[in-house]
Amino acid sequence: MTILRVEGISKSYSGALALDNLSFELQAGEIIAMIGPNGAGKTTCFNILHGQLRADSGQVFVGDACTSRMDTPAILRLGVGRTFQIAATFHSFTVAENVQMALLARRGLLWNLHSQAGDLCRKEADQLLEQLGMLAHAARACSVLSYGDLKRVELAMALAGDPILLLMDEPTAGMAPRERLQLMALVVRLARERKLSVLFTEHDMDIVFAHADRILLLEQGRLICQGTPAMVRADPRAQRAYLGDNRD
Amino acid sequence: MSSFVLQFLNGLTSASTLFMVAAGLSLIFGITRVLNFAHGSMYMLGIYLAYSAIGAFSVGGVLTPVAFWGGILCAAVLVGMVGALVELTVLRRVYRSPELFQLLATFGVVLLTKDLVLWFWGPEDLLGPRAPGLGGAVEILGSPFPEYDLFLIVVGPLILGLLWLLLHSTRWGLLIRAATQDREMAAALGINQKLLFTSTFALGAFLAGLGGALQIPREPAQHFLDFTVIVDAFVVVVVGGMGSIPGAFLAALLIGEVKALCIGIGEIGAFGFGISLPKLTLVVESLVMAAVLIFRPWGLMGRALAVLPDAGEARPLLARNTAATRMAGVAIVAALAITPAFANQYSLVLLVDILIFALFAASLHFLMGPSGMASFGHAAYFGLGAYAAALAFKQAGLPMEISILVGPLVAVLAALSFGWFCVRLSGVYLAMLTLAFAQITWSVIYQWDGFTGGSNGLVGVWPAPWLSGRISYFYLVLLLCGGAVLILRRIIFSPFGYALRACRDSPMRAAAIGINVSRFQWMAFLVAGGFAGLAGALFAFSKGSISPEVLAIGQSVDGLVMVLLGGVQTISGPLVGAAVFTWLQELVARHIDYWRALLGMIIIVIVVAFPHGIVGQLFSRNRAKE
Repeated sequence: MTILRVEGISKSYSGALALDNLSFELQAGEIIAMIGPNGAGKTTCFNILHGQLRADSGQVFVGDACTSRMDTPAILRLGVGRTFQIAATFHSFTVAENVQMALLARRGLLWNLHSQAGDLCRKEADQLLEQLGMLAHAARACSVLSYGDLKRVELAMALAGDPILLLMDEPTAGMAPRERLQLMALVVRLARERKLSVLFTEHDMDIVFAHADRILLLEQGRLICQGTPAMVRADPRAQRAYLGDNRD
Repeated sequence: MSSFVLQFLNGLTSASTLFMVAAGLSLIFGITRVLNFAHGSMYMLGIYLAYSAIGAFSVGGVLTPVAFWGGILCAAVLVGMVGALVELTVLRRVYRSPELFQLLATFGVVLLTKDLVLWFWGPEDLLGPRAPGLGGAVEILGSPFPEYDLFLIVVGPLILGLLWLLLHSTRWGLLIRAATQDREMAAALGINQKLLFTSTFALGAFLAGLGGALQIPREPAQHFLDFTVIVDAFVVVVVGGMGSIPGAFLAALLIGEVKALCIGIGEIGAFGFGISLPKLTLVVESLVMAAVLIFRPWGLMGRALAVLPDAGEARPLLARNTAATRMAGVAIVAALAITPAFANQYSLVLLVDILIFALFAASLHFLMGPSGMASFGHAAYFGLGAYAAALAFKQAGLPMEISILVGPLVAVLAALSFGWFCVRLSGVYLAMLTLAFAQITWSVIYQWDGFTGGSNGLVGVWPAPWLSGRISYFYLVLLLCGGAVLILRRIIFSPFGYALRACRDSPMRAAAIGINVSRFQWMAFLVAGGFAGLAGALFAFSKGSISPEVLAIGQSVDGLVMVLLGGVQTISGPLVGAAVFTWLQELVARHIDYWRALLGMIIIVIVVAFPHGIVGQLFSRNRAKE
């Protein structure tokens, strides 16, 4: 089943073309890496997919629904979650409260001026934190966590929305090498368990080739090749554009 | 036709002065990120010093060009030195404090300067001499136009040119521009920040002082100039874009001309109403600002301030009620409930004031703390609540019990319409828009003599007979204010309150989990406005009369001081701040002539000693012990 279908989207910033007629598809349960040098258009693509930006032309479908004109909340309701390049959590909340917020938002329970928010959805939040190995930190303030742990909290918040598709913008940026592998292994395990599709961007090729089912290579806003890791590794265009530098 | 040309020239004249003040403010903000409330005071100091310096230089009472121009320059230099002194003694100590605390510190300087001026020069207006050689008038299209004003028209662009040269062809200017763009990077490159900050402050104050001193032949030195000038300067800087000098010039031209045009058009009739535009310059000015901010949120030539993903100080977790705090709360309410048994009339009146302002401060805190939106115009809702209740009672003849409810209702409606615009902006720009709306409201109430009683206000706003005793009214206020504060507290801990804090902590993440950030912030305005309106309505009936003072900028600033004194990141802080502030004001104002100076000193000392507010400091002390 096709979860995400991108049909020829283009976007330019005051004349500079950031995305040029980009098309690709993502199947249920697939884990796809989008790679490319800085400025290739990866973050622009993510922002369009999640409704923060509008494409100049082209269309995006999540399932059967066309999301090209939808805003972020509507896209979220279709089951598209997101984590950011730089982990963004709520500083003045505890770890558990962060996840509770995501759960409350997902269930539309925020327009409530009466209940004690700290007591709502606590159980589900703890369950999610346990899956991510963060339960021991539940009562700690987010402001004192290590960066790797913050990334896990962010992931828990994205999962709280019960997504069918998770967009992860450089999920391991800014982390130590060992933490990176652990986090990606966790993402893959959770994705398989939950039948979740993942689209992620990444600069660490070890992670990309170890975890992605398929790879999309972008350069200057264009998709220059796609396929399984083995196919991309062998493709001369890919070697020239990106991997060539890596093999020196 | 000729009158329009003259008004146009008048606009250019005032634009020059506005630019000088605003350029200094913008420079200071660009480098130090401090919004300097005391900048208007520097302008005022400039006029007064110029008056005295010219007098002192006129040997034997003869005014020579040397005495005049020497006096003006001397005044500007002295003000520059005062600016450096303020930076060295006060601001240098609070650069690491939250933005709003720095604002409070500069407000302490405002109060201090105001009383120093009163003490040294007295309360009378002081009219300076005319400029020797420029005292005449030239004929323009058949009407006389003062030569000195023509001179001022030239001075503005001249200063712009000099500032441009200073910033673009000196090493100091290079450092200034670098630090304006990225303070951390500039520091990392080894630029001496302290020297840079002090010299920028001195230059900014010098410009304000010069702007003031040059006014001496045109307008008398008056001791309320600080407020009128600072509001104008804020408007110009915000319209032009924070930190942009050419933007400030452009905005000064725009605002100066709009004001002149209002005066030029005069009275207009529309829909059977006579509207006197000259009286409404402030309204028109604020409307221009609101329009610019809606279409260009960072001002005409400003750029979005770089916001780091983790911007802002790390905020502490909210402390939930423990058995101890609950006991303390019950004890305080119980103590208040039995006070009428032994307190005298005077203490009861003071307690009613404290309770009302505690609610006012709590409602402002709701916006500033959990919602993260600083409001410089919160008095608008307080004042509208007071006026709406009083008008419902006096003009519509509603019973007092209903009138008290009309107050918050009208405040909610105002908060809905003002808030809709405000939540489109953030930070300092949002704060300035709230100020603009408050000023508009104030002007309308002040000018609408027939309905609101104009500057005299309304009298005879007395509670119903069963509540007319001091004691019974005290209980009413205790019940309503106490209840309202508890409800506000409840909301802060509710999912709605959590969502507001989420929007404050990380708008990006809040949006990504499906929170409609601006709608929640809009509703925060509604809640805060409504409770402020209730406080206002109670205030009107407790005094029996109201005047436009209740929604003037001073009232908004009082609220800010209360919240910041107590500590913006604690829930009980604003209540303590309101009590301390109201009590101090009452105590000091009754016994000491120069109470403002004392208050200013106290504020400065508190800000320097307790950078997190009184209650905030206690909390962090406790935490350190643990």
